[in-house]
Amino acid sequence: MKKMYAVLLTLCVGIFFAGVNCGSETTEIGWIDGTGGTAISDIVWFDDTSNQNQVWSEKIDDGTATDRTAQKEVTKTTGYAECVVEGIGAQTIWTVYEDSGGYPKPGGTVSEGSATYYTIKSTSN
Amino acid sequence: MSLKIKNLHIMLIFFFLFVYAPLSSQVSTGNNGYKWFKVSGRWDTVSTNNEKFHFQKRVPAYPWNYNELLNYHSIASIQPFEKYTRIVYTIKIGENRSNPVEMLLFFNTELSETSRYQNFHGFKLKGDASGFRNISFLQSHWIEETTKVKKGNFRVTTLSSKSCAIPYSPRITCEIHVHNNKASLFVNNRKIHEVVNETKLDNGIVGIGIRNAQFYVYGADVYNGSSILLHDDFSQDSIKRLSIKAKHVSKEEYDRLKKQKQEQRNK
Repeated sequence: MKKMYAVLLTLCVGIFFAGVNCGSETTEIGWIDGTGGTAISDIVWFDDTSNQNQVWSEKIDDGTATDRTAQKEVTKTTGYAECVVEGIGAQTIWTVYEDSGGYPKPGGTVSEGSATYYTIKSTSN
Repeated sequence: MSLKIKNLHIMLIFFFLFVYAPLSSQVSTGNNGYKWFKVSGRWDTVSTNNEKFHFQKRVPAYPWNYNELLNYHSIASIQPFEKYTRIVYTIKIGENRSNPVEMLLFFNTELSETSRYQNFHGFKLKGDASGFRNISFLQSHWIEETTKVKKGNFRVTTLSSKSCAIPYSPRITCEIHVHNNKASLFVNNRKIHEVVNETKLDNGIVGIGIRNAQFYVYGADVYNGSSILLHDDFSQDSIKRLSIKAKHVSKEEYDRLKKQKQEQRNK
């Protein structure tokens, strides 16, 4: 009987630590301004139901010492980012797209437990 | 037979003179066929066998706070109009919604070096789970006149307000009649509010915004008397959006490039 309790206890402790370990992985995203002149501010990472998950309020400017945001934790790995351009429009940042004339896809997925930087390459009509 | 052909010719001439020519000369198509600018939200143009419409997918709206239109899911006409007398929308509030549902019908909107949509007038309809319960007339104005992009540089004032009862379904027709400084809002052909403003209201950009609900726009027309200034038949995507592309870069790669840049600067 004692042996059975010991086995059960070991199992419970194992499951507990496995759960803690899974939840402890943090996923971080940062943004770099690589547009060559357009100042970017107010980047928000939304989850796939459009609820705000993380906010970068700082202004980043390519070619200056403040050309990137800090990396911050996102708790939803599937979602999309938006930022305000020229104070008139909140536009989606295409993080998944075909480079050569392909159609951009809204949103994307970041790997759980990763620390990712995205470089904002271009803004155009 | 010859009479039939003659009739057809007369019909074609009639169509060209009274339908096609007036439409093609007066209807604003914006640039490259775009009629609207996406201020915020997720707007798609949907075309099925039976109907065509603009669909706004998102429910909650993020408070960006650069102007009030950004705090809704909004589209604004690309072109400002010199003089309009009637703005007509046919819309539907989606089933996917939360409280309070707020719809903004804005006009007299200024987009310039100093007003980035901060200056406008509009009717706001606010509702609960089943329908709109309140109508108000709003004015938004910049706080400080500046060419700089500045967060929070606007103030929204409610100039008048009253209660109403408008169910969300089925489709709703919203019609704004404007004459100089007077504006009236008709919903489903019933006048629900009328205002007299201190300044003229019959010029500028027009548009529509929603928050806390998915949203369908089936019709959008702007008139000056009987002339059509803007007509959207949703046969193509008429919403202009900015494209911002970002590429995944590993931190190691970025640090290497940063170091390279720094070394170049030091040389």
